[in-house]
Amino acid sequence: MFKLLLKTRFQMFFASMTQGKKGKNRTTGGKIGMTILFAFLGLYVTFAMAALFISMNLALAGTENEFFPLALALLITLTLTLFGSIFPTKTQIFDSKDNELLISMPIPPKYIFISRLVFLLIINYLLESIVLVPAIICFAIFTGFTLMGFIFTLLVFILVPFLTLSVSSLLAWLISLIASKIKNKTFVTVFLFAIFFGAYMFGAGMIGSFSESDIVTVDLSGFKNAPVIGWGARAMTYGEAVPFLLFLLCCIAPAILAYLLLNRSFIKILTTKKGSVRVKYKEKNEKVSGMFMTLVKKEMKRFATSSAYILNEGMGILMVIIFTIMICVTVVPIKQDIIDTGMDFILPLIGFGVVAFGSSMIMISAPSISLEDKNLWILQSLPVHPHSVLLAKVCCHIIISLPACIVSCIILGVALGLSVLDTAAIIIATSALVVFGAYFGMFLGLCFPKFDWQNENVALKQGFAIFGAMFGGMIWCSLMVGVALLMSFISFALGALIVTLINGAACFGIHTYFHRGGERRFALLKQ
Amino acid sequence: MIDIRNLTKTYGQKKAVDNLTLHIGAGEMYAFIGHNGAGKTTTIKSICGLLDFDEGAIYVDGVSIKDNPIECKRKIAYLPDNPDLYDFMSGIKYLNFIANIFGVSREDRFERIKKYGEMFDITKDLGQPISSYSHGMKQKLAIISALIHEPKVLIMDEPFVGLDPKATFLLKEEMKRICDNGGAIFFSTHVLDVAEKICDKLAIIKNGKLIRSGSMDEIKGDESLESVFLELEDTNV
Repeated sequence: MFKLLLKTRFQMFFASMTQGKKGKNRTTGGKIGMTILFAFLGLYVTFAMAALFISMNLALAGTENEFFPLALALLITLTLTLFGSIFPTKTQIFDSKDNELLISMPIPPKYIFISRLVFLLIINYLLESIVLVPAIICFAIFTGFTLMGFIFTLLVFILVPFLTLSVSSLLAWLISLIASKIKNKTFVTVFLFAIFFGAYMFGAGMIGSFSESDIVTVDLSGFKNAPVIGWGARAMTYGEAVPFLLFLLCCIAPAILAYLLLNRSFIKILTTKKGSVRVKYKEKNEKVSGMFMTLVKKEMKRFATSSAYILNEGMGILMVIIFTIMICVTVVPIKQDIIDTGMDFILPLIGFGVVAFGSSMIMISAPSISLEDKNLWILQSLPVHPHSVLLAKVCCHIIISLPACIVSCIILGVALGLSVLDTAAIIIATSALVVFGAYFGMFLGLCFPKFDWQNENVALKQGFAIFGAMFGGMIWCSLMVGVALLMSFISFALGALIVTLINGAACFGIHTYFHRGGERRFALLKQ
Repeated sequence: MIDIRNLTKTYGQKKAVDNLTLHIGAGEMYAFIGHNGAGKTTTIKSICGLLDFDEGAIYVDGVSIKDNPIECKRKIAYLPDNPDLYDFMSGIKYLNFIANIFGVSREDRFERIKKYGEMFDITKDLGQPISSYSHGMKQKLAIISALIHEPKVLIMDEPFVGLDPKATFLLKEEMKRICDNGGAIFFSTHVLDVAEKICDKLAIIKNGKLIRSGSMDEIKGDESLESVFLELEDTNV
């Protein structure tokens, strides 16, 4: 029975990868394409890691810091697996679609719970392999293991996913518990995600600083005694037993605690009706809005009530803010040097480039048609023009993303000491790019909707509309920055004007399409 | 009120609806019955402008659904068999959404929400998100949203599925009221007793073809609707 449960989890996992539109299996070409894509991504990250660890081992082999590449590998692995598994763990264990079906069957709940854990554990091993395997191989080639060190390395490899899974399970349980007690679940989820994302960015920043700085001259001895990563690295490098036992304790104790706690409460969590705060209806004259504003408000509500929507498609807004802060921290202090070298024409370009690049990651409009799915009949049966529906979705994208972009442009304009004209040019060109991003995402969403989802995350993360909006947006953004760069030799304001005109023309083209072929396409969706 | 002329809709090789002609006049309550997959939902969705059709024409109050779908939809209220509503809205927000789209005045919507909310015993739940509603509550909310703009034409696909007996009774009463006020109702159902008791006219569809239509008396005579239906189902079409 346990094997069957585990097999079912993998079947569901692979089905989500191999199924195409309307639940049909992908064509052979599609399967090959997906395999190549995943293989490419996996190999790309693995080789990037290998390059990092080769350079580190070459620099540190034989020194007293030779443990450091393995400590860094453990830090990256823990960050990657922990960050990457909190929300999947929550989905797999507490919010899985087949929970009700399985607990209605004569299956011991323990089997259901353990099968979920084993599945997650295997996923964690795969993620761990991407980082730790190249790190171990590089260490073996350039530095070399002792016998005990090699044995401990294998054991550390086996133990790490237990630690991350137990911590992510406990955090997921905590999130589920908090979410079930409060009214505004979306806010809490987004807030918690922002904390994890902040921690991840901090970790990524630390890793970046290590690889960039001259690690030979930096004192890394503090890492030797760092909990978990230091102990693990020492056990792997020198074959020391005491640090290994401490590492073992750190991995096994939370795993046992998580298992005991969650196994006991698993069935209770699933069968307890989640107490939501009841909203009392008060009779009152409701506010009357026009048709278009009603559609826009509906889109805004859809966005604001889904943490997955906010986190996946609104992430660009956060990136715009982060990039702005980064420029203020890194470029503003050397602003005078840039001016002194006669490169001051590049300053408005930097301001435009970072905000434009961040805004290209905002994809609110792209999945909005896919998200209609079962509700599509409502809009199709109402007396509204399809182009109004499409424009309302575009407007929602613009209303949500434009304020952050404009504020960032103003901050950068002031921080970089730009003229009023250049600041205004950045604002206008960036706004034009945001509007284009909204139209372009909507265009892709309309042409390539994804209606075969059970979980809205599929509509938000997969499909050509999402990939097209993301990569297409980035390529387009790069082109626009290129145009602005070329024109900067004459005048940045002129470059911004050309960028605005190009984007305006592209938006006009898509807008016209929405009024013609787009109307027909929307009316025929799901037929 | 609804004029369907030679409607034909094909899915691949299969003709879901084959040359169907039907007229539903003002004040008429028309039941549409047939086996599963006979073409009822396809016909209903075609009338509401949810499905494009290959041949024929459909007019709602004299307006072609193909040529002027928006004008047609202003006159229609459509109730699907499984109303998937916006889960992210509360009941009252959804009703306001529909009222805004149809341009219902502030006073009228307040009055109607109060009236239908109390009638279907859903007022106290209107502040709750739709995601917390049961199937029956969603059905009631969908019915209220269909009635909130006082439609001339009410088109429903299996409207009684999931409703409790009291709500079923109230819906039937409301349907009669709409017809008495000159509206037209066209609905599909598998509950033959309901069709027999409340409808003026009836259409039976089999394998996409209309095999019988007319007044209830013309079709069933002295027999029960059930026996007539089963008899017709056994004939080869």
